[in-house]
This record gives sequence, C-alpha cells and structure tokens, in this order.
Amino acid sequence: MKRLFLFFIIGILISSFFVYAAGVSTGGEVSSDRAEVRSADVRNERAVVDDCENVNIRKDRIKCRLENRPERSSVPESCRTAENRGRCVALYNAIGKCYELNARNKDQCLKRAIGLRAKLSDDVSTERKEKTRDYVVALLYDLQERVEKANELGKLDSEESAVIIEKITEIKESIGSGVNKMEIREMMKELKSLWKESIE
Amino acid sequence: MEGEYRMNKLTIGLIIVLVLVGGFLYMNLDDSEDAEVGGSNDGQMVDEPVSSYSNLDSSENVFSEIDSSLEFIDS
Repeated sequence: MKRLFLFFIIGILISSFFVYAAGVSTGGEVSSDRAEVRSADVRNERAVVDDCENVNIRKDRIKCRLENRPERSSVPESCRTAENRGRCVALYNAIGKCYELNARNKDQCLKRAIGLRAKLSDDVSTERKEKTRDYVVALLYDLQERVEKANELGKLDSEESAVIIEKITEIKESIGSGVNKMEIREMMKELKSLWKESIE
Repeated sequence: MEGEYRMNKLTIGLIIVLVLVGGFLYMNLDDSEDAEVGGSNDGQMVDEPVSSYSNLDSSENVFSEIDSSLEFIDS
C-alpha cells in the first residue's frame, strides 16, 4: 500500500514536469516549428515596442505606437514620469475592461473600479478628491481611445492623433501630480480646441 | 499496517492543507492588487441603478462629464 502510494506521488511529479515543459514552449524555449515562429513573432513585437519606447520626443513616441500598433503593452505614457508609477499602472489595469462597454454601463464600470458612487456629489468618502482625479484620468483615457479609433479607421492621420494624445497625456500627468482645477480647466480648453479642429 | 494507514492519511491531509493554504494566499494576492486603486469605499458601494450613472456615449458627453467632475478634484 505504501509502495503504491509512493508510485502515485512520483507519477504526479513526472506528469507535472511535462505540463511545465508545455507552458515554457509558448515563451519560445522548445524547438518545434510552431514555437520558433511564435518566438520570432515575440522578438519582432519586442523590437517594435523597444523601438517606440526608445524615441526621445513624446509626440514621436506616440506616433510610433500609432503607426506600428504593438500588441504588447508598454508603460502608459502618463505613468512614465508618475511619482507612484505602480499605482498609476494599476489604475489603467483596473479600468481597462470598462472601455469595452458603452454609455452608462461604461461609467458604472469606471466608477466601481475606482470606488466612486454614481454621482460624485453624493460621495462623502474622505478619498473623494483622489478618486475624482482617477475618474477624470479615466475619462481622458476614454477620449484617447476615441482618437486611436479614429486613427485606426483612417479618419485622423497619425500626426494629428499624436498631437491630441500628447495634450491628453499632459493633462493626465498634471492631474496625477496634483495641479489645481483652474489650471486643468485651462488645459482642457486647449484640448477642446484641438478636438474641434481635428475631429469635429 | 495500521501505522502505514495512519501515515498515508497524514500525507493526504498535509497535501489538502497545502492546497487550501496555497489557494487562500493566491486569492489574497489577487484581492490586494484590486485594492490598490479603489481603496476603501467606506461601505458606500451600494447597488445604484445603471440609469443614475452618466451617459458616456459621445465625446461631448465625456467632455461635459470631465467639466463637472473637475469641481471635486480640489475638495
């Protein structure tokens, strides 16, 4: 009985090794044809991402991403200089799925992910100020998604799109660094006029 | 024979405990990631009807929502 149990445990260990080996192959370690093709795709993808990430001027970096559309995500532009980069990236991860929704469902998803009530005026939590900043960043990201979509559909060229996204990024950075609402409103006016010139 | 049986029971019990502890730790890690952004809700997250949320179907509505939300970013 003891021996049988021992064989059983060894059997589980051996089969788990094969499962592990199968998992590693998707990273391009196993030399099957499919794995090599996948590995080459990953290398090309990485090269495109790295090429864009190494561009020094922000607008050109944004344009590079728009033109190459790397599937692998990089650190969001407005998080690159954020004081708390981890928190900034976590916000994008938390709200990311909400942009697949529409209208009120999207707003519900965003507010729930951030921890806000339906109406900000009803929110009496001590963290309302910080959460509202996160919410405005989320709304700006919604505008950015619209620009990216317009670019994808050929309604807006990469240069115009990059100019608008750069402005959106500047505003998001300012919100993250605690700039007051008067200054944010001024920046929003500039964004609106860019929007009218290019999109409407 | 009885000793062997007891030992096997002990090993199975140990494996079950390890799986449970592993599962608990995994779920805890997952929760802590979510908590990073939302923070504490002060018990306020009630089920509000979807109609009480803002309609973000157009860019005009998003701009207007940003405008009204900016009122609360300093207070």
